[in-house]
Amino acid sequence: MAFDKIDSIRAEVFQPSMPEEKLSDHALIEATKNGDETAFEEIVNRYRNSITNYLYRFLNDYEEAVDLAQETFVRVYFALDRYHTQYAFSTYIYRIATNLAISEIRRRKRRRLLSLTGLFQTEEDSSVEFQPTDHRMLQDDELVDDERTEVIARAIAALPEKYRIPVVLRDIEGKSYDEIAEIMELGLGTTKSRISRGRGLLKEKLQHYI
Amino acid sequence: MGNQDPKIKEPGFTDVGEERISMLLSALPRVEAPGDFGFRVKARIADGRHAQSSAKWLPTVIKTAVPLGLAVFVGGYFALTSLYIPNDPVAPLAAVETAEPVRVHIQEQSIGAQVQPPLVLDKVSEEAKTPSVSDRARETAAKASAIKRPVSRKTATDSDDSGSYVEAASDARKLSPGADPANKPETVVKGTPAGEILTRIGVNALFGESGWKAESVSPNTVASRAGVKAGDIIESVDDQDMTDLGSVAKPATGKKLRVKRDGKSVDIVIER
Repeated sequence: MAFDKIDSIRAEVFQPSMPEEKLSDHALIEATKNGDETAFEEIVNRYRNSITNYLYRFLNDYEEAVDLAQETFVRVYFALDRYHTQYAFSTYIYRIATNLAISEIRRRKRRRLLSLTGLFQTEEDSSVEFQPTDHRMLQDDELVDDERTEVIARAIAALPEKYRIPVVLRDIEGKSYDEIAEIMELGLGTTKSRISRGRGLLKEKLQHYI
Repeated sequence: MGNQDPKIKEPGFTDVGEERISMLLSALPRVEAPGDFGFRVKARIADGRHAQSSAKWLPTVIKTAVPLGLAVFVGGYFALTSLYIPNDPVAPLAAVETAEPVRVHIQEQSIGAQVQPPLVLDKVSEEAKTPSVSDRARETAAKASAIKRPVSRKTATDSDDSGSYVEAASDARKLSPGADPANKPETVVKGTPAGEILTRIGVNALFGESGWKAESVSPNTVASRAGVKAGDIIESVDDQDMTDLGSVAKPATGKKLRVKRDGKSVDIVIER
């Protein structure tokens, strides 16, 4: 696994300056603030895959997800002085990633609005297009899996932002309701409601797979 | 990187379908960041640092330049307004106090009678005897005077060869009365009303049956140096008839005045 390799590399690289036990995020942040560049590398290594995956499921565009994930870490780095340890770092970084993703989606919408075809799109169509399932028989199971994965990904990407974010954070990233509420800066009840509503919308679109 | 444990046992599911959806989503394969992710983040941070460092001086420059520019503007405005002297002989001018002695050439004529020998007055203002301007201003005044002198001679006494005038100490020290030596002598714009011309040369006059009658004369003006007094009737300015209430046609400098005093016409020529 990639993390295993990273952990082993980290153990070699940070041997002189870091203790054996894993430092907390806050300790790494403090070390970064004090000029320890390797501490920030450790933060990047800890969160790069989860942030990339989250953004990928949010945007359904891998290149864009990687780009925004990198931008997320850059924003974190330059805003370290403003980071308060009263919040969990994971909440903080997911919030930055979410805001970047929302900005990206809105930029896409503006781009579409400016394009000629965008003039004929409605607000409902402005999210990622969802195509119905192709029910033709496929011989290869792997192809079937790929197709299912693709359909689910599109269905997620077709959800409105306010449902997509909590559903992805909950069901794909495995965040708790409390964390999601903090990331989205919403109340717990609203968060749960949105997750439930998002799942309901997905259920309608993915009837064939459930 | 494997999938995380699906949260299918949470109590929040409202129905089975919702639970199945949650399972479906949690079973999706996870993507990972590319191998050079950390390197690219580092590169971006380095770029960001460079951009920040190059942009750091900008606010400093703005913070410095804006107040500085504002101060220069305000200072320049006040400097200009304090140094600016309107081309109005009525207004008190600094140069007047330091001007060289003003020579006033007066010719007296009886109304409708033969020309009498000119009465020459050498009027030297006391305050003018104590110059306080710098040599530079004096030189400038001398230049201006030298340029204007031939014209004044021609229009003063040489043309009719009647009368005389007293030379001042030197040509280079002649100053225009009631005017800044650095500026041109006051010139009335063509077509200026007669009353305004009189006001500019320092005569506060009212037009009556006998013509423009001086009510009072402003100090330190052309008229005051020429010896115009209250009660004088201004007949002409620079050979332009002032017996009419209308406008004068030509520009007037007020260097040559004809006034009627005690029933006699008096020509007053101011040499510079």
